[in-house]
Amino acid sequence: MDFQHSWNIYRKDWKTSVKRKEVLGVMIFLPAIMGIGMPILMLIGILVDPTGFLESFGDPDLLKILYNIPPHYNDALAAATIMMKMFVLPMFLFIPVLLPVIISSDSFAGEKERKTMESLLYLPITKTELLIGKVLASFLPSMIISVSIFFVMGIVVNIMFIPHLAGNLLLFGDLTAMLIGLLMSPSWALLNIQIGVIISSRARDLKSAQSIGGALITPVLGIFFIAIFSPTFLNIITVLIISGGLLILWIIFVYIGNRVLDPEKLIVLA
Amino acid sequence: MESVISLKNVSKLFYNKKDKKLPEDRRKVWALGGLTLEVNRGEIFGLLGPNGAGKTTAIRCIAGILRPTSGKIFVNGLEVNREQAHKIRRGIGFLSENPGNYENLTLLENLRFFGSFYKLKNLNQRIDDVLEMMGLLNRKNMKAGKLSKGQKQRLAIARTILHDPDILFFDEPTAGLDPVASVKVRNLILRLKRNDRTIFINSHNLEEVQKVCDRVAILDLGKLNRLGTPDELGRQLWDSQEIVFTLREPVSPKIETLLSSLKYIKQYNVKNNQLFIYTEDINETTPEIIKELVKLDANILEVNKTVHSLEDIYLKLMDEESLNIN
Repeated sequence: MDFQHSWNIYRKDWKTSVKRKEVLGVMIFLPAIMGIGMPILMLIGILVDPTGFLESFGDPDLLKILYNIPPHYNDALAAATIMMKMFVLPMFLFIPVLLPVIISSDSFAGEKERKTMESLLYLPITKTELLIGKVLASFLPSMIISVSIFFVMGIVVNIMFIPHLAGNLLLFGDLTAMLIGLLMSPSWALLNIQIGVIISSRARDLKSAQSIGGALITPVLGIFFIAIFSPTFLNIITVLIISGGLLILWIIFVYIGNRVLDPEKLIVLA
Repeated sequence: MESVISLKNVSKLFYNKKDKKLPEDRRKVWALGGLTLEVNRGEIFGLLGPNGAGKTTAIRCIAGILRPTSGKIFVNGLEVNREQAHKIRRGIGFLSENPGNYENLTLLENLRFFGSFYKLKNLNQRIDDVLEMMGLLNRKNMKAGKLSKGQKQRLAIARTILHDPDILFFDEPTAGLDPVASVKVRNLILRLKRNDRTIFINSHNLEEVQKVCDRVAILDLGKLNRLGTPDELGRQLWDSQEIVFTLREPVSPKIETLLSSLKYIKQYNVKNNQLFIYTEDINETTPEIIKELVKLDANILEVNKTVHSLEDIYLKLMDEESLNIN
């Protein structure tokens, strides 16, 4: 196993992806709107009328208890914390899963469609090196973009709420949030990419790979809505359990991927 | 002669799993049926055959991309199998039927990507050299997708020779090239041979194959139909070859008597001052006939040997094959 070979595949795939304007556009603008634009608009609303935000969910005190808000938080800080937990954190679960679909579905199906599969298979590489390169090509850009947006959002929200922070930190001060951003999201993305790449290797064309890959987001949507409507669902324990489960599943799919990736099928279907 | 590629009774079965309505026997397609051949070091070997003959399947099996259903393949003494195929590919350059370039990458980026797998010491210099060789150096920073069809093919050839492999597989190397570029590619192939490279050409361009190949194999329905030099194949297919002598004067009865007496002449025809002579081996008999004619004071103006071209050989074989099928 020569990791440099996988790295070469990753670099080539990333280069070809960023040169496609539609891919680059979706990769940057979609997460920027979902992870920064929309939350900022909501935070502006909170800054204007924090009590109104809390009251819009019914009893503000009950809401604060449900979301485990420290009693010394004022309404603005409490509303911003609740908003982070309710909308922003699930968004950071959703973005790293959504982004790789664009690249991972293209990984093998795109090579077949552009008739470059054969020249790739004639290279002196093993199928494991090829598979890892293809997974990296989806995983690294998605994670770089997601983590960057997570930190940009963290900085922005803390700057916006400076007058209300009183020594506290929004997003960065929350261990659950950090675990979601830095552990659960990457684990989910990794599993999703692994499955997406396997599907792409078996799909006849890019469109079918994309539609099957897109369907993989459905379970994440489920978690997204559970997180919104069940305030206590995403805590340190559930995040660790889910992340661990996802990583175990990923390892299983790495094994499956190695078994099912058949150069013969790639070339015959190409 | 040292054999660098060796196929031993290689068969490849493709099974159509999807079309379940087809009867069982029609779902099985034997792309190769017990193919045995050896390619020697420094040889240019041509693989010919109609579409579906198994030429590309043979190359893919040698590369280790397709697994033979039975039989063994050796390249440079190593058996092509799952564990060794990628190591074997290090010393081989493959030009596939489709150029296979990344169209939204520049020529330089394409070659850097493909070259990065071979640990070349001075990759950038080597890229310049092969681009220069293929007449593409001034387009180095252009996207591959902007090239013409012939230029794309030249880029693919540049990629194939980039790591200076010992063995090269060219699948239709001059497809899409203009005559000048075709000649350049032919000369490149001959130059590579002089550097002791082994070259395997799969082509429908019989004239090109005849010009460059030392030996050819003709495949049909996955089986080896004929193997040998074009001359050998000609001799295998035609029991006599034709020499035409043009004399200054009409052919005299004296000459006709002489021709009748020469045992190595199978048959002859006379037409005014032209003699059509049929023998088994024109290379051996032509000087003899000239000597005998000169003894009879015949003034020879011209001697033409009719050599069967690879095209004649191929068409005759394909004709025979279609007769067998019918």
